[in-house]
Amino acid sequence: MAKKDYDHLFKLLIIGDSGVGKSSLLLRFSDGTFTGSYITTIGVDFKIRTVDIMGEKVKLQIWDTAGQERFRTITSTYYRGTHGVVVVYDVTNGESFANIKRWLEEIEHNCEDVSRVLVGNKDDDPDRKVVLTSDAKRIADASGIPLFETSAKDNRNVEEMFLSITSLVLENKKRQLQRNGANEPQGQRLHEGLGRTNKKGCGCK
Amino acid sequence: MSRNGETAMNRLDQMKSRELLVEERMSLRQEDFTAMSKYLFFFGTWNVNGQSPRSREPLEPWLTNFDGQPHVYVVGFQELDLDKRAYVYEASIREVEWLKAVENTISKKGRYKLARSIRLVGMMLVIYVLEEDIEYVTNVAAAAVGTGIMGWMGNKGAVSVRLEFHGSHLCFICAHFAAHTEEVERRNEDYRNICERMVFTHLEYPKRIKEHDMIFWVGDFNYRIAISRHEAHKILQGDLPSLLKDLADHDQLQLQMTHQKVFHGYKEGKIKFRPTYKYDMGTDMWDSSEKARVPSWCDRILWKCKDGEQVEQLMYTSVKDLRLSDHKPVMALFDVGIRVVDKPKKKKVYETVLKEIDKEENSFIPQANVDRQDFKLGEITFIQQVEHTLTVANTGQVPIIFEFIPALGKESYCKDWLKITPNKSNISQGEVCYVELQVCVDKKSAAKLTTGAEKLEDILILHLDRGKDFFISLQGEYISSCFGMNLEALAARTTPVRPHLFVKTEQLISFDTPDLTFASKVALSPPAHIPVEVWMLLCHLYTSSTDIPDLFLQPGLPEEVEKIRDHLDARLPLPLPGSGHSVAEALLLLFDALPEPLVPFKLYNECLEASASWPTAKVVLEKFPKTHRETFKAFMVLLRKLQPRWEQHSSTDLGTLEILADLVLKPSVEVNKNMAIMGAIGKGAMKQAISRKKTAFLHMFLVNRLDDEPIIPSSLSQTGAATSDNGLAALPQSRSVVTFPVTFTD
Repeated sequence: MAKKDYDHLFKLLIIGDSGVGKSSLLLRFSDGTFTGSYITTIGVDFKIRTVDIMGEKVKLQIWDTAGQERFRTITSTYYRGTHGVVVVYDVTNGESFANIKRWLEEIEHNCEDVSRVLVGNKDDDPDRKVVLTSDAKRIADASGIPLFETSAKDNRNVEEMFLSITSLVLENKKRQLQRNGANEPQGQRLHEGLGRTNKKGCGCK
Repeated sequence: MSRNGETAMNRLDQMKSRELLVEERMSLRQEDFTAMSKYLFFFGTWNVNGQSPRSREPLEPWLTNFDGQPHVYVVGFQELDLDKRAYVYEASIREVEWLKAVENTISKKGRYKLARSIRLVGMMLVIYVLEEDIEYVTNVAAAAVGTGIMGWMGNKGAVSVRLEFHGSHLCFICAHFAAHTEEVERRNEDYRNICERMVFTHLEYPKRIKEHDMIFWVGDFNYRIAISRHEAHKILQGDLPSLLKDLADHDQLQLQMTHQKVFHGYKEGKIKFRPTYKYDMGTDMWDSSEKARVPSWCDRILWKCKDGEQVEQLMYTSVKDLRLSDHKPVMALFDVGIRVVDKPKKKKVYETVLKEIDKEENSFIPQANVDRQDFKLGEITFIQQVEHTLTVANTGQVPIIFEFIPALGKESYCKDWLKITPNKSNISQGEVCYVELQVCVDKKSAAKLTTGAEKLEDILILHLDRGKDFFISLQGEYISSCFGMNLEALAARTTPVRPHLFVKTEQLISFDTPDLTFASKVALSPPAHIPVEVWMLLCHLYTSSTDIPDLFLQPGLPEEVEKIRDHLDARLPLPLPGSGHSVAEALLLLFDALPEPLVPFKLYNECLEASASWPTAKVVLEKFPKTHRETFKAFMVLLRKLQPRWEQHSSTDLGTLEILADLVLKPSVEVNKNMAIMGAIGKGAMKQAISRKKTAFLHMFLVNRLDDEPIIPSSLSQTGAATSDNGLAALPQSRSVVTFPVTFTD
């Protein structure tokens, strides 16, 4: 019997204001490329990438969404079934950072139990940087999510950031499985064999 | 929109055996992450003729009397157990005895771990690996093939173990072929049989013998020296070098291999030892029994490796001093080049390979381009047609299917005022599809846009099957018209709906304009509660359309209806442009587009119930809001004028009336929904009955007259106005009640 091509399949979503570099981050991570020309994403696109996390093969399907305000209602429906969300702002654009709060609320509103990571992109020119790392760190700590300052252009921290969110999702999944597993004996006592079928059925691979 | 995600995920699932592809690419780049390193391997084979190991005959001469410490011991036995029960039972005392004997002996060389052992009747193969190396031994699998009695019994055949040592794929076979000098072809057949049937199934992907980097055979292959015993003994008298040469010329195995009949591509080290068979047990004497077997090299060690592999035989010999069997054991030492994996390097290559395959997979996701994602529709009014084209191009590497899909929670993929053709289609690679976007605000959407409850904008989702979604925005401004306006709002207006329509024209009129024509004054001064625009339509039809056949049945011309719309919206002087048919259609359109129909929704049922009783009908009419009531009455006056003999109606007239009744009497959305839930049975009959009631209701107002019907002027000229025609003359005392425009008589 052929082995499964991956041990886990996760859906990640990239959100944030228009122009912060969501598509660039995705392209850097999935294709290893960067194009300086700016094309607004008007819609929703995805790419896949397979990574190895501690010997486990994880297939990622990463969705890149339109950041423009006028699409907010439509894009919110793409949150369904998402395991992890990458919230991006532009370190050279204070407004995009100010809007982080709204994006985090958006997640609260549309998702249950997702892993999150905060990303300050375009961190490649100290002269243009306006969002202080300390300010971003404060927001990240307050929400209990990791912060990454990245540059899709210079390929800085992009890989690390995506691997980090993937690890978070993987840990979260394992915690869930463990929780389900802990409940198992109880179920078994009530209905013999039920616990076993449960175990087989769960695991959202 | 998870369903999009799910379909895409399913597709990725269907991509077959990605894992195999990864393995293939990894093996192509093996050199990038492995270094060849020499490892000492021991190979031994012995047909023990069913004997137990003996303490007084230790195995050291066979297994350990050489320099160096093997990393791997590969030891094969034949005729381990001649007990007939070994054919039937799994367990064998001999197996345990010999394993122990080997283990004890090789422990003098180092600490070894059993990697695997397998036994089939008398054939056994055991693999020991130095403890420090055992962690690099992976994917160990064993298999056996019987070629004995009936072609499958295990007294002859082979047992085999395959494993990966670091990055090298190794296969070891211990075989026992058919006996007797004349059975050469059987032996060749046994070899082919084993190669064909030996499959390591307990792996993720089953493997065969030939699918390995290096293959080693040990065993009693039973090939003989094909000369007479007499001749053989003569040769055996000579010194070793000459006897080896003379016997080799008659060795069946070497001859068969030369003729490529068996062990194709295999190598064997030069034989520098006396034949290993057949001795009198316990001696070094040649077989003295009656059978008097010709001495032969039955026991051999052969190997084969892929190009680039490094295998060097260091020693190949038999052991004279072990005498418990009628065979002598054989051993060989090899320096084997093993591909030792550099783990960090391998991880890097693995990641590169994954990335590469991901990239390929990504390139097979459907891709498309659209030429525009933002459509500015400009100003649009009622029934104005605007068309735009959206070009969808397949820019990917696979055919695509696109479809406009509703946003989550929406029922429709676009607004009422938009028509998309096609809304779904497939496009081949490199081809394009032109999608027509037709915008037209009609009765369905006019009311909502007029009141501002909705805006003339929409975001479409163009979905690629198994791919991305595009958002297409449309934005325009709806210019309100009298069509789609609420009747009360219309009646309350003192100014035209679109006065700016004809800015430069002197036709622009108002009540105060002194040179206002008589006709215009009539039209602009309807009786109380009747909207000007309705009155204009009624007056026009009343005075000029009595003789037109099929009025209300034959459609008007769209461009004329649009002109009439503009004329009404600007309240320009009568007559209206266009044919009677167009004006009649405009009137129906205006009624049809009313947010609240002429008969208010809440009185709909009462009207149906009153359809058989004139007094009741009159009472219901009194409940109408004034604007609706007066407009309704004026409409009835017009109909009566157009067809004075409703009592003797023809079927065409009834048909007309049915259409008109449908426009005037409409159920509310809720009532309509309730109808829809009803079963198909009875629905048709029900519909018919309702239609009959509606028509009857209108019909009553045509054959009966109310006391206070509005009077529509019979002519738009001043003189004509004085002369009453049939329709008006017959009206009894209507003048007293009707608030006829004071401006009428100037």
